[in-house]
Amino acid sequence: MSTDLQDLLRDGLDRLTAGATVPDGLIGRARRHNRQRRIKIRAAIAAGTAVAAAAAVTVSLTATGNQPRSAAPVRTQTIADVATRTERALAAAVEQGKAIQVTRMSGRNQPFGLTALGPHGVTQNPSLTQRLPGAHTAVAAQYMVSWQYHHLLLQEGFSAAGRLVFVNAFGPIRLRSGQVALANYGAAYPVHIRWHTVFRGVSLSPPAPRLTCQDGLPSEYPSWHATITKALSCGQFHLAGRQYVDGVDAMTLAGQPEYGGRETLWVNPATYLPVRLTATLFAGLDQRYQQLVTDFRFLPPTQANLAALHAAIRRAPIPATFRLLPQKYTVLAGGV
Amino acid sequence: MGGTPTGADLERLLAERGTQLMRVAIALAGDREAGEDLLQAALERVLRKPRQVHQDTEGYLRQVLYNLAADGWRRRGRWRQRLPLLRAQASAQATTEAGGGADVVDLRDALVRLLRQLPPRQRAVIVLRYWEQCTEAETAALLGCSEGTVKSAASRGLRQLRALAGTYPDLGFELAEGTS
Repeated sequence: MSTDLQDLLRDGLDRLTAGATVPDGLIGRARRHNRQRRIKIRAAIAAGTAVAAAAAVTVSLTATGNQPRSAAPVRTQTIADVATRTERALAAAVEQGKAIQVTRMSGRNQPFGLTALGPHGVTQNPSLTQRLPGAHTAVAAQYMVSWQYHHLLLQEGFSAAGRLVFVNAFGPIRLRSGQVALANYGAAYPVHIRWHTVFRGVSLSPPAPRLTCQDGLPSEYPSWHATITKALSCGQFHLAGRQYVDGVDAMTLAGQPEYGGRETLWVNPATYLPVRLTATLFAGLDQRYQQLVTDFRFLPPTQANLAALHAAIRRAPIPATFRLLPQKYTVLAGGV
Repeated sequence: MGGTPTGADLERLLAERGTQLMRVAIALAGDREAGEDLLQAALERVLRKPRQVHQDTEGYLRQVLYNLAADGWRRRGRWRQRLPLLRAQASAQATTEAGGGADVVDLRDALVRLLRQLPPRQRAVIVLRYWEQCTEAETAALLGCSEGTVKSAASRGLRQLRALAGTYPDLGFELAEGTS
C-alpha cells in the first residue's frame, strides 16, 4: 500500500484536533500563572541576585526619617517602627559591609537550580529551565547557602546528603588594564559544565530598580532592606506576636501578599535583623504547594568568619576539564 | 483587532476564534492537555507584553504559539514532555496487540503519534507547512527564521517521520516519498 505521507498526516491532525474547545477560565489561569512566574523569577533572582544585587546596591535611606504620625493606629505605628529599625539594621549590617551575610535557603517542593540567561536577560528564558545550555539533565539542589560580603556573592547548592551540586559566584576582578570588572563564574558538578563571564563597564553599584507592591516576595534583590520595607509599606505584613526561631524570641510579621500565598518574617527584637523568612505559594498549573525558607545569619567580619568565607570559596574547585559555557551567558542560582 | 490588547480583548478573541487556536495548539503539542498548556503559555506571553502586539492580536498569538512550540516551551517538566511519547508507545502497542490489521485510520493516528517524537522546531514546521498549508516564506516569517531553515527542517522532519514509521512494521504500509 502506498499512500502520501502529507495527506495522511493532515487527516491525522484533523482527527486529533476535531471538537477542540477552549477550556473555561484559561485567561484567568494565564493571569495567575504570570503572577506566580514573577514571584519565581524574583525568588530565583533573590537567591541568585544577578549582577545588580551582587554589587550590593546602595539605596538611599529615604525612609529612615519617616516617623509614624501620632494619629496613626497603634498597630501601624508598631509595624512602621519595626520596619524603620529593621531597615536601619540591615543597612548598617550588610550594605555598609559591617557583616558577612549568610543565608540558607531550603524549601518544600522547592528545588534550587541554575538558570542561564542570554544576552537579553530573563525575558529570553522565561521558563526558568533549571538547565544549562548543553546539559542533558537538570541540576537540582535541595538547599542553597549564599555568602554575601561587600561585592562578593557566593552561592552553593547542596544535595540532601550535603554534597556540593553547584557553585555560582559574582565578584569584582581586576583586569590587566587595571580596571575593575564584575565576573560571574561557577560550576555545575553533575553535568561537568563551568562558566566564567566578565562584565566590563558594569557599575558595581547600579541604581536600585523601582519596586512596586506587585513585586511580591521580599528578597535580596535589590536588597533585603528595600524589599522588606516596600512590603511593609504596601501593608503586606502585620505584627503577629512572638515565636522562638533558632533560639531567638523573634517578632513575627505575617503577611498575605498580592500574589497570593503567605509570607512570614521573623525579626530579632534585639538587633532588628531578620532571622527567618518563609513564603508559601501554590505554583504551576497543578497549583502545587511550595514553601521557601530563608534563614539569615549576620556574621561580624572577624578573622575566623572571613576564614570561613574563604574556605567556602576554596571548597569548590572548578576543574578546567569542565565544558566552558560561552561568555554570553549569565548564570543565576535560585529557587526554580 | 489591533493595538495593545486588554484582557477583555483576549476574552473576545478566544470566544470568536478560540476553537481554531486550540486546534493549532493541540496539533503542535500533540495532545489536548498539552495543547491547553501551550495556549495558556501563549496567552501569558501576550498578557505580559501586550505592547509587543504590533499586528492583529490573533496573528501575534499564533506566532507566539508556534514559537513557543518550536522552542520546546515546556522544557522544565521533562517527565510531562515524555508523557505523550509513553502514551504513544502504549497506544501503538495496543494497536499491534489488537490484531495488527492497520487501516488508514490507524496510519493517520500513528503518524500523529510519530510527529510528537520529532524535535520541536521540526514539528512546528511540519504542522505549519502541511497542516496549516503555509508557504515556506510564511512559515519562515512566523518562526523568525530563513526559508532555507524551513526547507531543511521540513525535509528532515518528513525523512524522520518516514524513518520512524519504518519502526512500526506491524502497521503494514509503505510510505511514498512526499513532494516537499
